[in-house]
Amino acid sequence: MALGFQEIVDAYYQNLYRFALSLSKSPDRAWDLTQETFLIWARKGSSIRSEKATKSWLYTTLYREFLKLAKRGARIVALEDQSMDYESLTDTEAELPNFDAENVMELLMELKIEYRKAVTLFYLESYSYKEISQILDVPIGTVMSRLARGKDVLRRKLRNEGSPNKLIAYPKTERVSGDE
Amino acid sequence: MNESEAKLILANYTLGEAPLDDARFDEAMKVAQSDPELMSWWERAKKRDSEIKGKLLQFEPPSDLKAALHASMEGVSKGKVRRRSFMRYLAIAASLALAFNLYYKYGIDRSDEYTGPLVERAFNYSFDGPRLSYFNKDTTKITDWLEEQDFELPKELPTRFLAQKGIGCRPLNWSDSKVAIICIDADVVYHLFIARGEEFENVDLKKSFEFETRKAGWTVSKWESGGHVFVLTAKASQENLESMLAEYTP
Repeated sequence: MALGFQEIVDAYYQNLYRFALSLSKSPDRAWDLTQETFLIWARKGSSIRSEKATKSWLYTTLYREFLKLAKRGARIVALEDQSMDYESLTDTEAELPNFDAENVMELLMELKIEYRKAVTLFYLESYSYKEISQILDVPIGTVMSRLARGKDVLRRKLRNEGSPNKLIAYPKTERVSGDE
Repeated sequence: MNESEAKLILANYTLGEAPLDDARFDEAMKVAQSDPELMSWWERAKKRDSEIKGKLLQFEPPSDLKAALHASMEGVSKGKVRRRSFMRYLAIAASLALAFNLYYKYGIDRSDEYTGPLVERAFNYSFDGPRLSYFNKDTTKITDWLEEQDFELPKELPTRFLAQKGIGCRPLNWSDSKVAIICIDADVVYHLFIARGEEFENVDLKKSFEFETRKAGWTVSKWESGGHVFVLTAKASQENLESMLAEYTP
C-alpha cells in the first residue's frame, strides 16, 4: 500500500536532508532541496506505489535538483570518469578513533563531490553500486571505483591521516569553477 | 579475479545483506574464502562502515524542517483535492492543471536568523538562498499576490526586472517591519527587497542607484523611491544589475 504525503515525509526527510547537505554543503540549500524534492514528488511522483521505488525516485529527484542549482550557481566540480584502479585501495589495521555524527558529516563534506555523492548514498541507505549508479546516472564501474576510493579517503580523514593525494591522482582535466 | 579486484568488489558490499544476483560478488567471495587476509580485511571494513553509518544517521536535520515539510505538503494535498473535484464536476482537467498555481505557506519564518542593517540582511539572506512562500513564473501574479497579503507595493517597479521569468516571493517580518522579497530567474536569480521607507529611517539611501560589489561575485544595488527602499542582489556583475534596472528611474 502506498504511503500518504505525511508518511512519505516522515519516512524519508531526514536522510534526504543529510544527502542534500552533503551535496550542497549549505544547511539552507539542503533545506530548500529537501523541500523542493517533496513538492515535486507531490506533483509528479505520488502515483508511485512501491516504497522502494518512491525512495529511489526521491533521491534521484533531489540529486537532479542539486545539479540544476549547481549549474546555475556554477558551484559544481566536474571530474572526468575514471577507470577502476584496483591497486589504489589500501587500509590499515588501525581502528577508527572516537567520532560523532558532526565529525562524519564534516569530513564527508570535505570529499570531492564525485566521491561524496556515492559515499553518502552508500552510508545513508546501504545502497548497492547498481542502485547508486541508477540514482546518479553514471556507469557502474565508475560508481564502484568512486565508492571504494571515497570510503577509503573518508576513513583516512576520520583517522586524521592527512591528505590521500598519493592514492588518488585527480585527472589533469579537472575543472573547478565557482566559489566552493 | 585477483585479490585486488575482489577487494574492490567486496568494498562495495560492506553494509546490508549480501546480494543475491551479483555474479561479480560471488566470484569475489570465492577469492576471499581462499584468502584469510582478504576475508579479515572485509570483516574489518564491514565493522567500520557500520560504525560510520550509525554515526551519520545520528546527524540531526533542523528541528523545524519536519513541521515545515508537513505544512507545505498539506497545502499540496488540499490543492489536489480541489483539482480532482473540478475534474469530476467540470471536466476541465487540462485548464485546471495549467491554472493550478503553487501556493505554499510554510508557516515558519527562518529569515529571523538574519539580523543587522537592511542591506546587509538582504544580501546575507539572498546569498544563503531564501525560502519563498509563493511561486509563480508570472511576475504580475507575484505582485498581485503580495498585495493580497496586505503588502503595499510602490506604484513603480523596475520594468526590466518584472519582464523576466518569475520565481516567487515572500513577505518577511524583519524587526517588526514588513519587507517583501521577489525573485526572478534571468540565468541567475535576482532578489528584489522592498520595504516602506518610514519603517527603515536609519537606512541612508539615495534617489539614485548605488552599487556595491560583494563576495563570490555578487553585487548589491540599493536606492530609495516613492517612499520605499529597495535592495537588489544577485550573483552577477554591476553591469548585469544595471541592465536589470534599465528603463526605470527612482
